[in-house]
Amino acid sequence: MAVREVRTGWQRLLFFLLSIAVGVGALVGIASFSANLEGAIRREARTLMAADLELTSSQPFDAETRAAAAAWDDEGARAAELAEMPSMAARTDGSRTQLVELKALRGDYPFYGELVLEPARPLAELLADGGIVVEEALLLQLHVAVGERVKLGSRSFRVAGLLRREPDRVAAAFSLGPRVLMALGDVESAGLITVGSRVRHKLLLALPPQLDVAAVTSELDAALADERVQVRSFEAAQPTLRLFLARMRDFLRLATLVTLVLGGLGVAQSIRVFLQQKQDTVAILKVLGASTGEVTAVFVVQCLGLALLGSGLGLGLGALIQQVLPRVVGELLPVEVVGEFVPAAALEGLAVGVVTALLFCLLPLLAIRGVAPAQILRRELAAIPPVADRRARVLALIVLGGGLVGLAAWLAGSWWLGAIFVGGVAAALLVLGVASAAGLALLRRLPRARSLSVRQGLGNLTRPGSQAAAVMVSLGLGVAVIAQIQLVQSGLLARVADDAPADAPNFFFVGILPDQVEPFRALLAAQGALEGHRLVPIVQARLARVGGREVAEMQFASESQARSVTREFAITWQDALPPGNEVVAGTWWSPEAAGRESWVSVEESLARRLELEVGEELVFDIQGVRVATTVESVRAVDWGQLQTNFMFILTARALAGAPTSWAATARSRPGPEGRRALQAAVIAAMPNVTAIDAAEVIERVQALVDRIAGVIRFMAGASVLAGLVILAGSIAATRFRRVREAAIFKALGATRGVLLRSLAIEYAGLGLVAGTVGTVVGAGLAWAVLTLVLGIPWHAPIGVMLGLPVVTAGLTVLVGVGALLGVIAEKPLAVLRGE
Amino acid sequence: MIEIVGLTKTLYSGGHPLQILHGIDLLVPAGEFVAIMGPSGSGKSTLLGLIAGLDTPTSGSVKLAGQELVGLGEDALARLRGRTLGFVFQSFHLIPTLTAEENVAVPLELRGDRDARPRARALLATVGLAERGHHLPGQLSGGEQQRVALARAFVAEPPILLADEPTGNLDSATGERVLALLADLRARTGTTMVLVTHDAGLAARADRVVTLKDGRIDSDRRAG
Ligand SMILES: Nc1ncnc2c1ncn2[C@@H]1O[C@H](COP(=O)(O)OP(=O)(O)O)[C@@H](O)[C@H]1O
Ligand SMILES: [Mg+2]
Repeated sequence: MAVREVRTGWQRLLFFLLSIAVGVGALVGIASFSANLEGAIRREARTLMAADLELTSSQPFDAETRAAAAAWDDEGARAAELAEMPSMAARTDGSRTQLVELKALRGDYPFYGELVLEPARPLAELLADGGIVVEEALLLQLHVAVGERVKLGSRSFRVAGLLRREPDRVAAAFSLGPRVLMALGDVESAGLITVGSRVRHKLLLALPPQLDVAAVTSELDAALADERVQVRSFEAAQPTLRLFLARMRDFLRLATLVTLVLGGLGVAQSIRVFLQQKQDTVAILKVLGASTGEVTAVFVVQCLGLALLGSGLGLGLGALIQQVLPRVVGELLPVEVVGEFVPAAALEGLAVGVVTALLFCLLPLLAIRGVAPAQILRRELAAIPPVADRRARVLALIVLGGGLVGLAAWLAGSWWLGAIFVGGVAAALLVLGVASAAGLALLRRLPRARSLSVRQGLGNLTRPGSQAAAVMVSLGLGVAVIAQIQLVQSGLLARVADDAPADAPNFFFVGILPDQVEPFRALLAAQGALEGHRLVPIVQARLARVGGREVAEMQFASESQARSVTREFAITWQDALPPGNEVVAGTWWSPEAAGRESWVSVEESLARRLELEVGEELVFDIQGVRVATTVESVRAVDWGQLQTNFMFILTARALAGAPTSWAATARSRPGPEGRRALQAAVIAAMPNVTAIDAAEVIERVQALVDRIAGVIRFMAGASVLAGLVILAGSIAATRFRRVREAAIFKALGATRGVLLRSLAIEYAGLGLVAGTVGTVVGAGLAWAVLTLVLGIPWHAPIGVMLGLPVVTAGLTVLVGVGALLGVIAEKPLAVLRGE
Repeated sequence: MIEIVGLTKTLYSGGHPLQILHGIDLLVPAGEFVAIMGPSGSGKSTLLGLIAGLDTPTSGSVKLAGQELVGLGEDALARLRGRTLGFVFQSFHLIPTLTAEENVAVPLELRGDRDARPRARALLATVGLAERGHHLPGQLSGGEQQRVALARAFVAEPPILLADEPTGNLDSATGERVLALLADLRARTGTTMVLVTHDAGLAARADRVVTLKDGRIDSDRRAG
C-alpha cells in the first residue's frame, strides 16, 4: 500500500529527497574528508616529525640531556640536531631584507619523508662551506639568484640550492616567512643566537625497528631531569596543527546541522503539500474503516523509505564534496588527502539523514488526525491544509527539539555544545520567522498597488498557503550565516589592517642586546622613526612556584592547560604602567618602590586561572635562577592594541641582572621605501636583530583568515543551497495553481511581459525580504561575535549590508522565474477547458 | 465579424493523432447571437477556444473583425483578445488573489485604462454586486462568481463575447439569473455573441443555432 501511495505524485517528493540529500551530503563530505585527513596524518606522522621521536626545548640541550638521548646509540639509534628561529635575511648590499624561518641542522635530517632539493644533491653537500638552501620566495623577494650571496646575521652565505619540499614543515599558511636551511655550526659563527633569539632546539631520534618508540619515549621522558625539555613520539607530531584541524572538523560537523535543519524544513514542507493533495485518499481510507494510526503508519513507512533514498542520494553528493574540499582548504593541509570512501561516515550520514527526516515528518503527519472522513463530501475545503490539534503539536515540537539536541550533541560530541547550538539555531529561526511574518504583514497592509503586475506579484506572496514565510525563513537562515561570516571576517581584517591609526607602529623589532639599545635609538632617530617608539626589556622565564605551590607538583586537567602554566613566558620590568593597561586590583608601584621591591603585576585572566591574589607569592625560574616576587597588582590588558603586551610585569629590582634582550615598536617613514630603508638600516648595523614588518604579517594573517573563511563559506553555501531547494519545492507546490492563473490572464489579454513582470516582482519581493532579514540577523550575530567575544569595534561595510539582500533577490528571481517560464509559455486553452 | 474557413484541429495524444475538428466554416455577422449546441465531446469548447486564439488551429483560418488570427504571435494574440473579446468560462476562472472589483478591472488595466476602478465598480453594481467588490472570489458563491465573470467579460465593451456553458456549474435558478443578466448586457451593448449551451430554452433566444457533431457542423438553423 505504501508503495502504491508513493507512485502517484512522486515528482512532488523529489524535493523531499533533495532536502535530505543536501544536508547528508554536507555531513558525509566533511566527515569523510576529515577521516581521510586524520588517516593521512596518522600514516604520515613519522614524516611530519621526520623522526621517530623528538626532544624540544627553548634552551640549548645540556650535556645531561644529550647523554640521556644517546642511551640507545649502541643499539643503532641515530640522532640529528636542529635549531629553528626567525631571522633576517638581506642582500649583501643591504637594499632588500626579508624575515625568514631559519632551520639549522647537524646530522642525517630527515630520517623519514623526502627533502626535495634543487639541484638534487645530498643536503650535507649543499650546506658545506657556508652554503644555504632556501625557498624560492626568498630569492624573489631579495632579487638574488642561486649561486649569489645572502646576508644572515653577521656574515654572508652562498645560496647553494632551492628547497622544494620539506617533510616536517607545517602548512605554509602558518609560517612567518620563507625557509632557510643552514649548517648548525654556521649559526654560531654568524652570531645568530643571542640572548634575545627565539630559538626552538630539537633533537630528532630515529630508532632501529627492534626498539619500541612508545617505550623509548616514556623511558627518555622519565630519565630527563630538565622539565624544560619536552619529549614527543611521532604519534604526537605537530600538536598545534592537529588541534587546529580537529577544532575545524568539530565546528564544520556542527555547522552541517544548519543545513540538516533546513533540509528538515524542506521535508516538512513537501510532506505537508503531499498530504494536502492526498486528503481525499486519507478521507477515503478512513471512510473504508482505517484508523488514524493505520493511515499514519502508511505515510510513516513512505517517509522512512524516502528518507533512506534521500540519504543515499546524499552519500553521492558527499563523495562529490569530499573531492572538492581539499581544493577549498588548500594550503592549510600538511599532507595530501585522498578521497577514499569512509564507511563510518557514510553510515553516520544515512542514520542522521533518516533521523532528521523522521523528526521533521512528525508534525505534518499529525495532520492526518485532523482529516475528517466527511471531508470527501466538501471538496472546496481541500485547498486548506488540515492541522493537528494543539496538544499533539506541542508534543511533536518537544520531540523534534529533543531529537535535534540529541543530533547536535552527537555531531558536536558534547551535550552542552549541542544544546547551545540548537538553541542558537532555534533562536535564529524564531527571529527570522517573526521578522518574515512581520515583513509579509507589512506587504499585506500596504495600500493595494495601482500596477496590476505589482498587485498580482505581491498578492501571490501574501495569499494563504503561499509558503512565502517558510521560504523566507530558510533562505534567510542561509543568508544570515553568510552575512555573519562576511562581516566577522571584514571586521577582523579591518581591525588588523585599515583601522590602525596612521601613527600606530608598523615595525616590531626583537633581539636587541642591552648594549645595542642606545645605538638602536640613534638609528631610529636617523631614520626619522624615533617619535612614538617604545623599547621594552624582555626576560625569558618560567613559573616555579605559584601561591605557595610548586609548579612541578601541580596536577592539570588537560595537556593544553598544563602547557598554559608550564610554558615559557616573556616577562618585563617597567616603572610606569604601559598604555592600554589598567590596574583592576592592588596598586601600581612608584619608581622609587620599583628600585627597592621585588613585585609583580599579573594579567587579569591569567591571575584568575592561577587563582592568584594581590599579596601572594610568585616565584620565577630564570634560566635556573629562582626569583621570588609578591603580587602587587592585577591588570586588565587591551590585547587589541598593536603593541607588545605582557602577562607579567615586574619591578626593575626583581629582574636586576637577569639575561635581557630588548624589543621595540616603531613607525617607519611612510611608504614602501620608508619601510625598506628602516629595515635595511637596522639589519646592516645590528644583524642579530629581527625586524617584523606589520604589513607583511597582516598579509599573512589575511591569507590565513581568507582560507578559513573560505571553508566556512563553503558550508554556508550548502545551507543556501538547502534554502534554494525549499524555494524550488514551494514553486513546484504552487505550479498547478500558477498555470491556471497565467492562462486566465492571457485569456483576458495579458502579454507574456506582464506575466513575467509580476513573477519577477513576486520573487524579488521574496528575496528582498529574506535577504534583508537574513542580513540583519547575520549582522546581529557578527556584532555579538565582534564586540562581545573578540572585543573589536563593530564596523559594517555598506557593500555587504546592501549587496547581500540584492544578490539574494537576484538569485530568487532567477530561480523563481526560471522555474516558471514553462508556465507562461503554456497554451491557455488546455488549462481552461476543464470541468 | 467572425469569419471561420476550413478550420481543423488535430491533437496528438500518446502518439496517436486525434482529429477534433473536421473543417468548420462559419460566418457570424456583427451583432448576431449564435448558440452552439451538440453532445459532449463534439468539439464546442475547442472551437470557441480557437476563435479566441487560446490555441492554434492545425489548418484553416480565423478572422476577428477582419484581423487574421493564424500566424499571430502569443503577445499579439493576447493584445487582440484584450481589444476585441470577452470570454465567460464554465468554471468562472476568477483570479483568487484579486478582489471581485480588481478581477473586473483586469481587462481595463491590461489596456492601461486610467479609470479602470470606477468603471469596474459601476459594472459590478449593474450585475447586483455593488456591496461585494472588496470580497475575494473564495468568499463568493458560484452564482456570484459567475456574475463577476460576466462583468469582467463586458467591462472593456468588447465587440465580441464568447461564453462556454456559462451556467453549466450553476443550479437552474441561479443559472436563470445569470442568463438574464447576460441577455440584458448584450442587449445594452449590441455585442456579437457566441454561446455554447446545452439548454434548448436558452438556444431558442438566439438568432441562430449551430449544432456540432463529431467535430463537424451538423445543422445551422436561423431562429424563426
Ligand atoms: N488536450 C486534449 N487531449 C486529448 N483529448 C482532448 C483534449 N482536448 C480535447 N480533447 C478531446 O476533444 C474532443 C472535443 O472536446 P471539447 O471541445 O471539450 O468538446 P465539448 O466542449 O463539445 O464537450 C473530446 O473528445 C475531448 O476528449
Ligand atoms: Mg466543453
